[in-house]
Amino acid sequence: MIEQSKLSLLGFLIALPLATNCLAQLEGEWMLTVNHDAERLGVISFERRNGEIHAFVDGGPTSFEREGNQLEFDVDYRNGGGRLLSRHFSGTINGDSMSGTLVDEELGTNGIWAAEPFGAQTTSPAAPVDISGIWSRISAGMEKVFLDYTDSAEAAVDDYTYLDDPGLRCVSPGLIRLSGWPYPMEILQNEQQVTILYESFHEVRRIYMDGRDIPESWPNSAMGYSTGHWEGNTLVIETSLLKPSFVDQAGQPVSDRAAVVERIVLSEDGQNLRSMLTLHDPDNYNRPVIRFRQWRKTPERTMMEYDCDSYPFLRGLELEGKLGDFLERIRQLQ
Amino acid sequence: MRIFIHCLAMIGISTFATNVAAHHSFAAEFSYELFGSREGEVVEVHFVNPHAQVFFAVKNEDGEEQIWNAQTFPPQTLLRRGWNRDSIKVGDRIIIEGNLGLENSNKLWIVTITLEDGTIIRPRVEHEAGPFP
Repeated sequence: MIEQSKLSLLGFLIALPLATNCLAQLEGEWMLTVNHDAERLGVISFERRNGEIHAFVDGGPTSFEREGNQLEFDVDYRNGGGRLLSRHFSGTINGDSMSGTLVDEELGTNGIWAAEPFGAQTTSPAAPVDISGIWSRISAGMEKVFLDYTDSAEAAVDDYTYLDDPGLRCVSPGLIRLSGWPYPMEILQNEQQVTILYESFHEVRRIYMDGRDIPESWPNSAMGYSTGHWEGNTLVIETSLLKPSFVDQAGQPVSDRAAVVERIVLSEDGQNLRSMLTLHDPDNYNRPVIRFRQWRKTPERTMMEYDCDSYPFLRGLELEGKLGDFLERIRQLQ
Repeated sequence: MRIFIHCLAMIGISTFATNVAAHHSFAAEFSYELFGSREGEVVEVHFVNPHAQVFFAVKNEDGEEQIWNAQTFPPQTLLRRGWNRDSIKVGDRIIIEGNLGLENSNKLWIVTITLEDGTIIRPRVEHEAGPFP
């Protein structure tokens, strides 16, 4: 009996540092690479609170279980049509890497994933690269729907209906959504300014590279006021003075006090652009929200006009007997 | 002809249902599972963003005329797939097959449009995989 107690104590003393070591390895941010119908990027972070590890993907809470070096977590997402789905991840942690498989049980599809520690971003001397040209979106990120909402944001999401989407009225959906829209963008670049012409909604962004500050007083707009600089070969864009909008079609709100940082990197072969977008909006989120965008260089593509007319949408509502309610709701949202 | 159309539509359904390229919440307006087809006369064609729309007059079982609202991808997508502004005109008799609107609304998300001469217009699924924002 005594021997058994000693063995148990010995086991505990051995297991404790091992377990602590496992937890220590896990905590922090990891860059997630997912292959599920397309390559998708995300950031998974693990935080310890009251002795328990909590997991967040792209700033949104997610279920998480760990047994030894085995991990499981679920990440909700919406597909292109707005259907709420979930990916179930399982895998192993092995030193400073994780990997495993994932399944979307509802769609019956599966994929693979891997993660590596997401190191602190270091500042290096500016080394601008040429990112001019026409770029077409090739994939998005994890598109996690449920985020770490403040109470007011949670209420706003609950109240949201698809009819609140400004795009239906030909009104720009704002920087965050538009940066991931499926139509091409054209980048013009000189030392003083990077200009992005989006096919969607005819939007234009002027990113001032001349060292100026974002003015204290300037009209808020859908795409905001942007300044940029190079950190090594990464274009870092800071944007604020945004009009209230949404993160995506699930209606997660973006306030007019939000600040957005985009870190855009050109691939070594010059054919792909990758952007990590971080939304800082404490009015709505308890932690930053992250979105990834990726584009392929498509010089053969010709930009088209975004010919938009809200009439057919309104006519459709009229036929359904919903036009009056819709107009009243939009009045209230103004 | 109807059976043929239905078969064509069904071939695309499994991928179509998961890749509907609406920028807006398809799931809030249309059924992923229920499909139907309606025959009628085109009364309005709008080849515009955010969605191209065709309104067409359909006679129901009681002989009453109802206007149906059929939606599909925006012009950028359709033009790149060979469907142009003149493909469908007011007055054309057409059969549209698609995902049915929810709440018994007279709406369809277009899978195929069959013209009087038998030509089938078929908005294809997005090649670019993944959710729209």
